[in-house]
Amino acid sequence: MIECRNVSVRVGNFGLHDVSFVIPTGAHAVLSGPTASGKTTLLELIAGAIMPTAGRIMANGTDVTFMPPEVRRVGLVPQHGYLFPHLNVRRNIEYGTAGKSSADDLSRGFGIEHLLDRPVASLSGGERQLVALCRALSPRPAVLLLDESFSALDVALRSKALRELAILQGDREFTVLHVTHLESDTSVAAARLEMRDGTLQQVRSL
Amino acid sequence: MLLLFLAVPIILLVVLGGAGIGGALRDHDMIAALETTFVTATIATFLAALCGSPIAYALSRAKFRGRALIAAIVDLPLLIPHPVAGIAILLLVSRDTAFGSTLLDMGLRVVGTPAGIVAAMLFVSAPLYVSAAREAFARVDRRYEFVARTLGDTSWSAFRRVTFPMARRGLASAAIVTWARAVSEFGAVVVLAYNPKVVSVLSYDRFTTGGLRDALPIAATLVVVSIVPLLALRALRYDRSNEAV
Repeated sequence: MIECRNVSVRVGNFGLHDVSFVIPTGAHAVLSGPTASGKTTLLELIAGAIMPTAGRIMANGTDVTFMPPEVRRVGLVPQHGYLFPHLNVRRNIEYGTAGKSSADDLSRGFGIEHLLDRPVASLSGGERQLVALCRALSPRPAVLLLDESFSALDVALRSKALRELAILQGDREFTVLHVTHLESDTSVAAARLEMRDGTLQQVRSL
Repeated sequence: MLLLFLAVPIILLVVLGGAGIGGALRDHDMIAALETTFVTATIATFLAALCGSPIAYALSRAKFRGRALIAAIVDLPLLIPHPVAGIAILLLVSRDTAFGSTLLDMGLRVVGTPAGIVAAMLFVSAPLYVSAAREAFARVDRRYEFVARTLGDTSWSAFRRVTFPMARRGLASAAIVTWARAVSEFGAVVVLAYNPKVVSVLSYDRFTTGGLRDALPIAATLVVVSIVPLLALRALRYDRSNEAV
C-alpha cells in the first residue's frame, strides 16, 4: 500500500502541493502528466530522497515520512537505470540481497539470464532497464516505483516485462507506482493518477 | 613558445645531467636522500588521503554553513610562498607554543627530523589532494548513492560500496599528484629540516657547495623520478578515457 496524505514539498522553484492518494496493497497504478509536473519528485518523496515540508507518507501500513530510504522497503527503478558500473550484471542484481542469490530466478523471468556475467558497460539501454528492474525486485520491496523504466524497450519486450512483473506482483503482493507516458503500459494497471503543475489532478480506476 | 620554454630547460637538464645519473645512484648521500624523500612523501600522501578524503567528500556533496570557509582554508597553502609555509609550521611546532611543547613532551621532535619533512610536504601538497579528490567525488552522480540506499545501504555503506569504487581512479590520480608534489617540495622542507636531506635539498646543497657541475646529476635524477608519477597519471587517465560506463 502507498498512501500520501496532504503531501507538500518545495525543491528550488518547484513544489508539490497537497498531494493525497491511496494505492492498495498489491495494486499497480500508473502516474502520468506533462514534463515537469512533479512525477519524479513524487517518486523521490516516497523513496526518501527528499523529505516533505508537510503531510505524511505511508508505505505498507508504516509511516515512512521521515525514515531513511534503506528501511522503507521501497524499490526504485530510475529511467536510466543507474547500474553500478564497477559491478557486473549478477552483482548489480544481488546488490541488495546480502549474499542470497536471486539473480538467476529474476533474470530468467525477464529473459536476461544470458547477461549475468556481462559488465554493465556492454548493455543496451533496454537491457540496462531490465537489469535495474531485477536489482530493485531482488530485495523483495513492499513498494516498487518505476520512473519510465521501460522507455528503452521495444513493444514486445515491454509487454513481456509487464506480464512478468504482474506475475511477480501476484506472488509477492508488492504495490507498484509506475510513471509512464505510454497508454500500453496501463494494460496491467488498476488505477491512473494524473499530475499537473505539482498537484494531483485526477485519480481514477481503470 | 610557452611549450618550448616549459620543455627545453628540463630536456637540457636531463641531457646534460643524464650521464651522471648512474654515478648519482651510487652516491651514498643521494641514496639516503632518495630513501628519505620517498618514505616521507609516501607518508605525507597517505595522511593527505586519510584526512583529506572526508573533507573532499563533504565539499563535493554537502551544503552546510561554513562550507566556503573550509574550502578557503584548504586552498590557503596554495597561495603562500612555500618558505613562508615552512616558517608558519616552524612557529606552530616550536617549543614556545603549547602544541610544540606537547609534541616535545611526547618525545616527537619535528624540526630537523623526517616528521618535519612530512609536515612540510603535507602542508603544501594536501590542498592538491583535496581539490582533485573533490572533483573525483563530484563526478559520481549522487543518484547512484540514492539507488544503493533504496537497496538497503546506509549512507556509509553506499559510500563504501558505490561512491568510493566509482571514484577510485580519480582518487588514485589525486594521490599521485600529491606524491609528486611532495617529492619535489623544497621551500617548506628546507626551513623545517635541512637534514636529513631530501633530494631537492641535496641538489640545492650540491649547487651551493660545488656549483652546477655537482648539482646536475642530482637534479637530473629528480626529474627522471618525477616522470614516473606523470606516466602513472597518464596511464590512469588513458584507462578512464577508454572506460565506457
